[in-house]
Amino acid sequence: MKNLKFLLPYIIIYSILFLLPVSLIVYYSLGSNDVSHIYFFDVIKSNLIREVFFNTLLYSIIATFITSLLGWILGFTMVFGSSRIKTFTSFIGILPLLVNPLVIIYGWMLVLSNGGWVNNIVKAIFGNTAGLQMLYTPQAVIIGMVYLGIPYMTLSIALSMLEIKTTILSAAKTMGASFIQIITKIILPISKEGIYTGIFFVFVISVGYYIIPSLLGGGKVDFISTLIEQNVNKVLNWPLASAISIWMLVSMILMFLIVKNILIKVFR
Amino acid sequence: MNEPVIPNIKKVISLLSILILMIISLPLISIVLISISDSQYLVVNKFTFRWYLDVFASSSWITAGFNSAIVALITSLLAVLVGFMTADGLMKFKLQIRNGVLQLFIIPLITPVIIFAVAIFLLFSYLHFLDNVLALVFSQIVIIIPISISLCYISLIKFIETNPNVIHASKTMGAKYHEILFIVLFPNLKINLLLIFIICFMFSINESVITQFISDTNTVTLSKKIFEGVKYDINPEIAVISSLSILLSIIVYVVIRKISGKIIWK
Repeated sequence: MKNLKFLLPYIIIYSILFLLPVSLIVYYSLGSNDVSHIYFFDVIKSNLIREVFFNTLLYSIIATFITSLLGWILGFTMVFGSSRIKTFTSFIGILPLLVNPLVIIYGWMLVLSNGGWVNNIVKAIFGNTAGLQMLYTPQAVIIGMVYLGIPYMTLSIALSMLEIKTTILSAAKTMGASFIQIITKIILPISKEGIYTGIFFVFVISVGYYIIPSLLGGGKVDFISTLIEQNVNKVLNWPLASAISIWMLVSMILMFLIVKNILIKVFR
Repeated sequence: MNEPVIPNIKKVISLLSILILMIISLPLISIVLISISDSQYLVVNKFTFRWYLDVFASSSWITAGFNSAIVALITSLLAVLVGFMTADGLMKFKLQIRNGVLQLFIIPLITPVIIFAVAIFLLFSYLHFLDNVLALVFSQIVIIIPISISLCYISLIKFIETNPNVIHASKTMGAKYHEILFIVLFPNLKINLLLIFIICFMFSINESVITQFISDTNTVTLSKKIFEGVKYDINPEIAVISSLSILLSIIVYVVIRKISGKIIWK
């Protein structure tokens, strides 16, 4: 009991500022002011909300997949690359973690907009004066999600790769293992933990992104989080917003358990 | 026999990385270019620092920066304090209990931010406690403290691993808890704590989802102002603030690299 007093400040903060608000949205979603109408079940009845749920999960899965590939490549270079590339990778690879996500999104808006780099190159090569519509599309949202996910994925994979001793690698090399064999038999199995952690973390933050779909999607790409925000600020339907939040939380926990079990079976 | 193959594939992966890194730096470079360019578009004809002068002369940007800094300062100080206390308190439990409690404690970190933002917004609007600095601090602290707890926890574990007998020795010499804290732990871990403070500060100043809900006309922060600028009215001032933010991040990165060279977990 004496030991508990050091935990007390955080336990107080945790209960008042985390558990209490979360129980408040559970209370709202179960029909706080109108007992005859329970918003909790509106969520499954509505086609729109179901579609948005599906889209959010789909985009998050695609983004997490791309992030894990790119993150693995960067993580590999960060640990096994030559020293100059190593420094460069850890600088540019981690920098997005420290920059305000809004700034990064603004940068992508500059790059992808009609007068941006990509469109200027497309116009110069194909002579297409109209340019491509890239901003305010699902692709733009996925690009933003991948970008913000990369530092977490890279760090997590690089940390797990650091545990690989160079002696094991040189031993494998002298035994005549090819590079592909070294990757599949040594590096992948050891960096597995890092890949799991990265995938889990990036997936969780991808599903929850609010500023990316609302800025890079420009209101045309609906995410669960933008739907929640609209119901809080514009429609002022707080019970429905709470109900969507609870469904999101529950489905995320379920998704996580399923994904984790599948991943473990596949990699074993 | 396979020797020549190995460097080749390694080289391919390195080249791929450089390509990815170039794409990563593309939006950042675009922002800096547009902030010093005379036009609003990505056609750089003439360089100018006019927009920078505009921003430094504008009182609304200065106020926003001041608000952000105040909130981030209070939040990260509290986060380091509570985080260290909690991590130190956790060390007194058995390993299994400790891991379970730690996982319970960092749940706010893996909850989607939007859910937490809505939840805290509903609570604070019920209490009529919106749009002030304390409300911003109290809402941000919930997701910043878990970061601080896990980092402090790692630091403490590493410290005890590398110096297993120091705490035990000081206890047998009759040191009280506060003496251990101020004479043994703080001086040895001051670089770690500084690093944790910097990380918490950056997370707080970059926080942009909770801020959208809690902050309003009285407490406009940088995140709030950039968000509104990007959404409704893009002007060169946004590019200037963004460039300054990138500069701050680079400085912080360099500082972190410098001081983490002397760090205990290295």
